[in-house]
Amino acid sequence: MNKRGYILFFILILCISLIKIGYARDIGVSPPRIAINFEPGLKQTFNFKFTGDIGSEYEIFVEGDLSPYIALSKEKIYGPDVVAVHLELPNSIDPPGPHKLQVGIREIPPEGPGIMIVGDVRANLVVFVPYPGKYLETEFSTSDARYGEFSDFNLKVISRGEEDLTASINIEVYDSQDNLVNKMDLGEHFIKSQEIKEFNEKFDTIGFRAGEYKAVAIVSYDGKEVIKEDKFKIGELIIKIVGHSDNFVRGIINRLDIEIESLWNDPIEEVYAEILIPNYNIRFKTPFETVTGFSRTNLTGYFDPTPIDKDVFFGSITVYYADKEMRKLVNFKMKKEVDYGKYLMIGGIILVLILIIILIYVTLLKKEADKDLKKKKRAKRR
Amino acid sequence: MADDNLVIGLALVAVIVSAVGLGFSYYNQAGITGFAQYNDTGIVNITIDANLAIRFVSPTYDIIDWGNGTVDTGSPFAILETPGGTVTNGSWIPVAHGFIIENIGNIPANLSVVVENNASDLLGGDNPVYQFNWTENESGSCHNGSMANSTWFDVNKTVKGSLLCQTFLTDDATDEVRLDVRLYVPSNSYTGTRTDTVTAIADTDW
Repeated sequence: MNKRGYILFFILILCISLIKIGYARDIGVSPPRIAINFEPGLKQTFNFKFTGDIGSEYEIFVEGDLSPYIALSKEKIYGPDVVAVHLELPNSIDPPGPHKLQVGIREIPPEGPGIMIVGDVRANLVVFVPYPGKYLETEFSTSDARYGEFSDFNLKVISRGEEDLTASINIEVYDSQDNLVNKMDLGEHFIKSQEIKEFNEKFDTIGFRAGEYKAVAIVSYDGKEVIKEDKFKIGELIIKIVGHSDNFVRGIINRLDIEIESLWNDPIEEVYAEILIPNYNIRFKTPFETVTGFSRTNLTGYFDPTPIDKDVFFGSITVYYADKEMRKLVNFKMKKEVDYGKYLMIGGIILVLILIIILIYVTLLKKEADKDLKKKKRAKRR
Repeated sequence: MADDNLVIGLALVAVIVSAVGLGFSYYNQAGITGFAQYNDTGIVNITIDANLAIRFVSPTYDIIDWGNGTVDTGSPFAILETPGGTVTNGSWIPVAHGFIIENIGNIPANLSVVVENNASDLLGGDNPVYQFNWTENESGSCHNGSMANSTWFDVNKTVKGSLLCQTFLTDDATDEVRLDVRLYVPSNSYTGTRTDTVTAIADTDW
């Protein structure tokens, strides 16, 4: 190999090394969940997309009580690949309820010393076998909303029984003190066996104070009730920085009050502020305070402003509360100090000027008087 | 004079033709091409598939290998720990990294770890220790696991292993956990190269 060949070889090795440095080992599956209803003798194929590193060896496996009814198109892959999962169900499955199969990818570890970590990622393939008679399950979720907007209530009513049924649906809303503040009647609905009915309701927040609420979905059927609840917030958990004290004096420890206002209904605990005056490397915190709902409170800290040589200086106030923070950039002011020497000097100059004016005036008057006197003397001589 | 009148007449005709043309142009532009007068809407349709996936952040961090070593003469055991990279009473090469696992999917995962060998299987001897300690490499990444954060616990070789996170989050700033390893190697432990495989299992309740 000539010199040029060696250089090219070196560059190639360097490139491979750099690729290796930036390399991370990934392992995954999509979709992570498939749910189906049981049907006697059902035959269905599901495609799972597996993630892996090219060149690595992976085992595809199935776990769960229904695994005898599964056939895989591939049991080993060597990088990203799609595997077909063929399901052929028997005529009956016992017991009723969800039967979870896990379809997974597991890395086959290479030989080597030490303790090695490998990945194993599993998707769920759930087969719901209907319960005898009538049986309902529900899923319920709510969303937080700003005041004046809607909170979205999502309710899924799933008939998991062998028989059709009629369900009456209500949603009740409670405030943070557990007082019932609203009730929504969604009416009666006929739901077939294994059918899923979804209800998307909008809860208008106008007229409700900011705070945390609880929505309770009550689904009644065949003398039974299925209850699900979820919490949501109206308004925003915000603390405003209203103002701060000024008039600091050098040479002593000064008190700094920061007035804050809560726009939240419920008390907020462990609220504190951090003050930073960056040009003078001054940083200090206030103690914790509890701020009651919709109220104003002072956070008080102490600092020594002696190193600050300006009368107006820049700083920031950051209030920390409930994993949030509110920052405000402010100009702090020192107390104005009266400079008596300056006033005395100005007064003296003015006094001297007045005296000079008076002196000039008096001199002029005297000259005029002398002139008149001379005129009178000349007149007498004539 | 006659030439002047002719020029003036032609100029007037030109002005009139221009004015009429301008009127037609304006009319046509307003009536036909006024695209901006219409409110049109377009639909963007996209489906994002759910994906459950984890990553071992660096290839150098998927193996913990202390190399060759012995327990110091007279010591009952040596302690090898990855946090801080310490080796006490032994001659092994310190290893200062744990395993870093990132949730790179778009749904929260359950994260468990299971081993092939427990302390007795891996090390043998009197009172061997093989323990894990998990921490949030990014604060707020992991919730509701059954193993306490920042606490050493014995490895688990049962099928389900040890549940670190019931909710292993996906946000870029909160999606990494670190698993550290501690070994107490007894002075009368097995000899030769000892190996084990830790399997990080990610699945979902969703």
